Amino acid sequence: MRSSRPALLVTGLLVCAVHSIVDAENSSAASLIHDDEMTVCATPRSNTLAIPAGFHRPFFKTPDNGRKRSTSSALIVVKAFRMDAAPVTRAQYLSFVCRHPEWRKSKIKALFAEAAYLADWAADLDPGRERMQEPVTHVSWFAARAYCAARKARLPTVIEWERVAGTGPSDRSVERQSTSAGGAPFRFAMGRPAADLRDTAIVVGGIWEWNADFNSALASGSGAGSGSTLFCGDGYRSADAGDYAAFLRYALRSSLRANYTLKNLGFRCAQEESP
Amino acid sequence: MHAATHTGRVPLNLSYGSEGAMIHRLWSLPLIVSTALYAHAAVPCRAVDSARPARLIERIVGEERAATAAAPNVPPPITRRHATKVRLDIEVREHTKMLSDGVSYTYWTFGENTPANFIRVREGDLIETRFSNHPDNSLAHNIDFHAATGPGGGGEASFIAPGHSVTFAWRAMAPGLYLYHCVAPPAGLHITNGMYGLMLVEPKAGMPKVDREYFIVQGEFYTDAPFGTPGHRSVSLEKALKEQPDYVVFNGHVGALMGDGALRAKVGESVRLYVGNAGPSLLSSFHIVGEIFDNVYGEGGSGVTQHNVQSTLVPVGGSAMVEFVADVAGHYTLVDHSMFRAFNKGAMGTLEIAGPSRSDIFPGKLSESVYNPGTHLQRTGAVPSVATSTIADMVATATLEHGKQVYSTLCADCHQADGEGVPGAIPPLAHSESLMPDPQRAVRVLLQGLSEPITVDGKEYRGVMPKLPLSDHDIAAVLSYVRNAFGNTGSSITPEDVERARASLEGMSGQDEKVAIDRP
Repeated sequence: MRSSRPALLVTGLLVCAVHSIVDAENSSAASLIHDDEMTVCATPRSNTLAIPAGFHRPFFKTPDNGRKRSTSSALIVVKAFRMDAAPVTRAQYLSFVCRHPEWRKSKIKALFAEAAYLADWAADLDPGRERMQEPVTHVSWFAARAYCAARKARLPTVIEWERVAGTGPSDRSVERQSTSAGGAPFRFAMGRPAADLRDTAIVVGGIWEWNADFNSALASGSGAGSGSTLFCGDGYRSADAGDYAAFLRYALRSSLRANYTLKNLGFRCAQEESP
Repeated sequence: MHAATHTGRVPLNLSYGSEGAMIHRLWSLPLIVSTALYAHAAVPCRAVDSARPARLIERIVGEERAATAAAPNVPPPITRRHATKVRLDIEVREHTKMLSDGVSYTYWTFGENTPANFIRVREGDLIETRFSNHPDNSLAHNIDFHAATGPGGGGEASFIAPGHSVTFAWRAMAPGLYLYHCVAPPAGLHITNGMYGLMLVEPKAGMPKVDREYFIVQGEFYTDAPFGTPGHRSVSLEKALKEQPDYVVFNGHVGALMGDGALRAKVGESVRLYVGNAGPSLLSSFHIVGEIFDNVYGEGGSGVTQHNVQSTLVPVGGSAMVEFVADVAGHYTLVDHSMFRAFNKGAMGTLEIAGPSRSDIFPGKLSESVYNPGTHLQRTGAVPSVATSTIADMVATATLEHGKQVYSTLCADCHQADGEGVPGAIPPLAHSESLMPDPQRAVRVLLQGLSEPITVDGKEYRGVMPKLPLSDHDIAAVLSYVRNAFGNTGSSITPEDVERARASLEGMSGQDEKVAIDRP
């Protein structure tokens, strides 16, 4: 691993060059690249899916859906939008930091990310040769937002994300929490595709993911984010007090601050549907 | 020791005198303690309500690390006479540990183990808690100290993401034994997965001195397979929501207080157990088989509420303190007296009391002998007269059923399943005119066997019928069956009939024991 760093550094620098070529000549540049990771770096575009308009039942009964004092858990309409089919990979993020040096781990402003930012990257442009296709983690909300903005995209909202991946577990007796065999711990809480997306290429459930409005996830009815309702009181406020996966997800979101860089927290981007 | 120091009173002598010793229970201590508690409230108290004087906020002097100990041990009593700042470090881990032999589980723990360390502080202390969520963890966690007075017991102040640490402070205002636990949503899941421990807030005057202290926390696990199923088990939310755990354990896993983990004391020692119940669902009826609690601090409050208690209720999210003197040496079992939990789900522990025997208190086994008054089953005469017909019918049916079994096992090979026998060799039992008139004759045959030629229904048979190893009950049953099967209709034979026949045969044993078979 250590010995591959210079090569990767070079690769990283190449990525910047390659990326300009990609920008200029689109995919024809890919054929110029022979090395595997170069190929990876040379195809930073994300595979996005069209998410059709659909219904979603908000997990928390809040009055912010246009109904004052509502305790309704009625279905709401989520407009059609596009979303990445999978979380942003380390390879994709590498191409981003190539072009935007201010987001490299040595350059990042402390305001935008805590010390663990890209903690498992060996160097600014070295995410590890074998791990290029893994989701990038140890990224802050600021960084994730900047990445998406660079793609003229944005982070999905909580409601959008939940509409896509917030389906409750089908069998509450079989959630696997084992950390053995490489399985992500608490995968059962990290997402399951909505019924109308099961036949698509959507990939969810390996890591936690940032949302644009993560910090309003648990705002209570008063909007003050009173934590006391979060803990025991939230059972009555949720649409399904038996959906423990959702509780774990909303709890994790509400524990976050925008500069946090957790080991298993990544992101994907969303954008408006093409006109 | 500190009780004496602080109050100027001498604690009860808990040791035994020599001969005819009285058992000194701990009865009079609570009076001393409660007097001391209020004596230390130096300023006249404005009553907040009629029950409780206003609590003083003591000046904090100095600081120190919290006194903690891993289960089942308890840190030593606090001898400080002032309130201080107590620095407490708690780190959350999500990791795999053993729930039972061959069964692993992903525990969430405060520190290394479930239950978390016992924490001992003094009334009035300021607890500065540094709460850290390990970066390898996946979930947000927090901590709710039942000993704290304030929102969420600190749940809101301590709520923290993986890879982060938060420091918050609170005052231990009221003496007692308190649970602490994680309350991050969904709270029940965090608790059942192991995030709980006990904190003792000692009264200013300290707790009465005892020779031994231990702590026990009961908790439940809801898994995706029945108790004991080997492998890595994950939580079953279905069972959790139904409040039907597969495991109910003391101190975090099956067998934590068994074998090498047994609690130990010596004869004559006073013992205090700090008992908590994390639940999250089931009340505990804490009991020690063969021991009586001299004192119970009901629900873990600061005063003794009852003496001479067999089982004390430990509420979920609550506690109790029990005190007793180890009077008699031996092996004692600790249980939640909801006995299926103890027997089948793990709610069991052991207390070993070592020392000389105490025959004045427990003389124990005096003698042993065989006890055989004869069976009381199938004695229709003993059946109460109410609804006799129904009961008698049931008994008769059962008897015939049993007789049929005996017949098919021992008799049918020769006499045939239909009772017709074998022509020329084995006499028939069906439609037998020889069998029916004299029930006693058949009884005697069964008791003694038959080796002489007999004539049945006009035909002579020369075979031998062996004596069979049958009880009176069996003989009565099989004969009753034969006399009412194969087209026969006759009276039943009772075990008493057989018993009489047996007695009469034994009475004849001095003479020729040959049975006088009637030969028609």
